[in-house]
Amino acid sequence: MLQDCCTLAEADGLRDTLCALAAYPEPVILDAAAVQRVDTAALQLLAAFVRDRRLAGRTVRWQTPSPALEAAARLLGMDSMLQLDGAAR
Amino acid sequence: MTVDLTQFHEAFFEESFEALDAMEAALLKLDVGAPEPELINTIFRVAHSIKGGSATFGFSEIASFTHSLETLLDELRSGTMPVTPEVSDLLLKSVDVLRAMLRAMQATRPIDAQRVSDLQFDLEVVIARKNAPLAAPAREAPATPCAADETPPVWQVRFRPYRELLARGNDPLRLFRELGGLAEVRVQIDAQNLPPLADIQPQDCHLAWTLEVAGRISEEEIRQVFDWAEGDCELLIQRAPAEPPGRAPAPTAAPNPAPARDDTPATPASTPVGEPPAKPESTLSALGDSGSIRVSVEKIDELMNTVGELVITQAMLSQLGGQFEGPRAEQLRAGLVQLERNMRELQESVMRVRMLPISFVFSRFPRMVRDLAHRLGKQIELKLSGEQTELDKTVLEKIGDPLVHLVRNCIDHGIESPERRAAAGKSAAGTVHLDASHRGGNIAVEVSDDGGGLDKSRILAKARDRGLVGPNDVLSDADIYELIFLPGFSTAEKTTDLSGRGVGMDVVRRNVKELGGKIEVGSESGRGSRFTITLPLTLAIVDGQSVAVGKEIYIVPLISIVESLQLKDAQVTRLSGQEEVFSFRGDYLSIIRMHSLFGVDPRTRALHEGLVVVVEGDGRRVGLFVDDLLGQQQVVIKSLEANYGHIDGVSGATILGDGSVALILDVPGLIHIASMRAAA
Amino acid sequence: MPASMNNHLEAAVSEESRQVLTFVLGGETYGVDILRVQEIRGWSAVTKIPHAPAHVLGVLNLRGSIVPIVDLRMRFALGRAEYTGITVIIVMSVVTPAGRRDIGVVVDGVSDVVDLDCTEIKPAPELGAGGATDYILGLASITDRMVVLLDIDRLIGRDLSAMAGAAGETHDAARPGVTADPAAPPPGPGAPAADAA
Repeated sequence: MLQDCCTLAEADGLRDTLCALAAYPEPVILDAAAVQRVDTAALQLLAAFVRDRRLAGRTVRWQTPSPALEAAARLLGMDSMLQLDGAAR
Repeated sequence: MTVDLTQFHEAFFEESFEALDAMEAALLKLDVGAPEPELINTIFRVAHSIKGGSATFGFSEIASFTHSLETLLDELRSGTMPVTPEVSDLLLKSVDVLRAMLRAMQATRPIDAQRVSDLQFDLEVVIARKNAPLAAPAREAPATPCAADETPPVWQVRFRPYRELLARGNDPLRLFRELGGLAEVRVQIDAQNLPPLADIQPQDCHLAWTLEVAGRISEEEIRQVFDWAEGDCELLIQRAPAEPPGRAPAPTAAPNPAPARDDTPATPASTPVGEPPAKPESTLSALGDSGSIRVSVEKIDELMNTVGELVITQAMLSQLGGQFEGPRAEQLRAGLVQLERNMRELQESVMRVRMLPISFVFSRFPRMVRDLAHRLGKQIELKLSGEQTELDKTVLEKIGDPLVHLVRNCIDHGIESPERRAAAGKSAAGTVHLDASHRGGNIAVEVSDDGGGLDKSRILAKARDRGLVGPNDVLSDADIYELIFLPGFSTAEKTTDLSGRGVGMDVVRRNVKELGGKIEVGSESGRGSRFTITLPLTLAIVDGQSVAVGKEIYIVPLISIVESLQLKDAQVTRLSGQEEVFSFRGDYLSIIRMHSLFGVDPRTRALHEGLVVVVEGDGRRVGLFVDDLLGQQQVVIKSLEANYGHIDGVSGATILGDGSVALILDVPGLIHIASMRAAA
Repeated sequence: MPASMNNHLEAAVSEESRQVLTFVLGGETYGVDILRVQEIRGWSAVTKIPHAPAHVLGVLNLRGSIVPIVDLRMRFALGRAEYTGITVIIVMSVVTPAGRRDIGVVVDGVSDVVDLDCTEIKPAPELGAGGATDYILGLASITDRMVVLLDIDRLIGRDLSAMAGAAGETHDAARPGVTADPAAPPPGPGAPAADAA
């Protein structure tokens, strides 16, 4: 589950969390419903996480990504990279 | 790790002050009535970037003020409001207020809220007045001149942030959002350089983007959006080929009329990300920023110190190398010679890093002269030349005040009123000329005017009045001009608020002296006066003459040496059996015996066995009696005050080739000591 | 002894123990707080400073900084020693009214670093001439020797700020052939007459 605020200030914690999940064998489900604020730093980490998982043949799924997250990803042209397209609402 | 934004405050302040200087310069160039669009753009950009920065750092008062300022500037930019003298004055005042606010924030002092809100009110009144008669907001009607252009251009924007972008508080998200509010934007991300998650430093930016911007937007407007990130990214804007090459048209919403907020996601969706196109790196880096970086002065000083140490070590090695014998000694010496050459180059390079053009100081004068002339009802033209002459940053910082004083003097006392000028057959407008140039190893800065010149009889009368000159003393012109540098001497007929407050030329001279420089004055009645300040290129190094007194070695700055000579006993006269004087070019100069002044055992006490170095300081000359002259050399100035304290007659110390310390003489200080002694 | 002296002592004993660099001067052993010692170096010729008090021998180049050198023998009026290859300079940082300064102190020889239990530090006995010993932090015994702990800020820092710039136009230098004597002791209390040699 992602916190309501995903910005540079929280990015270190986010990275550690994601790193811990990187090798998790089961599909990882990211609950992004609560995300109110998000910035490029956080999205960059998420993008790397999703990509690394994909390259390792592991799955990431989104659960109810918040409008704020989706809008930000779209603005940065990252939505498909983040595989936000097929997200469950 | 959390990012502490305060670490960027200093950079923000510094950049903002520089930007304000640029804004002020642009404002002064702005022609009332027929403003140049580029100048208005410059001014607008400054306001915009300060607004952005202050909002980022939470300086809400500044952000709010710049917002009003920006609104007004926007009107000027679009041409819907003319640039009137009133507006121009208002904008200049805004520069002052912004400076004051930034200074207050920098010093964490409270802002003068009354002053800010007064001016903000004035700004808004002007804006409102413009909008009132035209009931409908002018913005709705896109009366843009390019309306004829049927198909708006498509811009291709390549935006490649440097790693530091995020840490500097810039977020591409915000930039794109703003751009999305202005035009239709398609975003394509380049995540090629995104490292594995575990290797990412969260505050580093590893992404790059290519944007396609379509709509009624100029290149300039796009640039403005990225303005705040300027210096933290590579930015390349070019017209895209008319038809975007075969790419699936992405579903795009219409551009929002206003910048979107977080909860109202603005429009532009991206094209699906395939493999990012391999962009030729070279074009990007070639077209990057100006190629300059911002480095703190402390870092440069550290570098200077280390290089200073190296120079000393190198000198030590060279001395040692000369004493070696044997087959390989030649090789060693050749290497040492090479080392010496490299050292010199290194030292010069480092020194150049600290050099800045004097335009940094000159740039404040147009405004000042304009204001002063206005207030005094005089017409004054300011001429600047040699603005590109470079000098050390420390010197530059300290020369500002003396120059301000001199220019004020020129305007206040030098330039006559238009009527008086007309009566004298001169043009109504007086000229004040500021010039900087290299002269030998020094920099000469001249302040001259075509006013009435110094009034010799009045200076003399005043000096007699104050008992500075005896009633029957006969003084040369040069001597009379020297009088104005005496403490408390002011020639203003009436005390204005500009000058004549007793703080005068003596302070100017003292400041110049502290910089190791000197000031001279020339004047021609009815034609004007000229003040020449001669300054060393840098405060870190001085060209010196080494002199020996007993076992001690002292350094006399070359700038103060007039001549060295050997005296015969017959040439010396003893006044009342005490003070020794000798005749030099028609003047009688006193002799300062360095050995007795500094209490060292000399090699000789007989004047004809040693040498007399004629030195000049504060417009006075004396002869320094020393044992011998040694070499001339550049020496690195070291502070004595860091661990000891001030010594009268000594300005600092240096380290000689053998590692020992030599004191650098303060010639004006020595002359002062000598005159105190003579008076006692 | 003035109250400030006691405050000083309290500050000293509030710590449990302290490391002290001891050195010898005219047969006595003195100690200074090791944290103040920057380095120890051998003697080399100094450059004389005009108008300086006699116990300020001059300045030295210490890796690019100009550092004044003070002779403690002369400061304590123990007479002048010969400066030889084995003369030692202890460079310490001293707090003066004008800020932190690095000062070199010439001593006869450095002994060693000792740990002193703060309870072993005793106040110096009050000597009649008030103020003359206020730079002594206390006394302590190590094995059979007595160590005088110095408060270098009081000892050197205070008259360092007074010594620079205080000297001036006092020299009778106008007459040719007369060499001025630069060895005038600094004025003020706490500065015993210099150069008893």
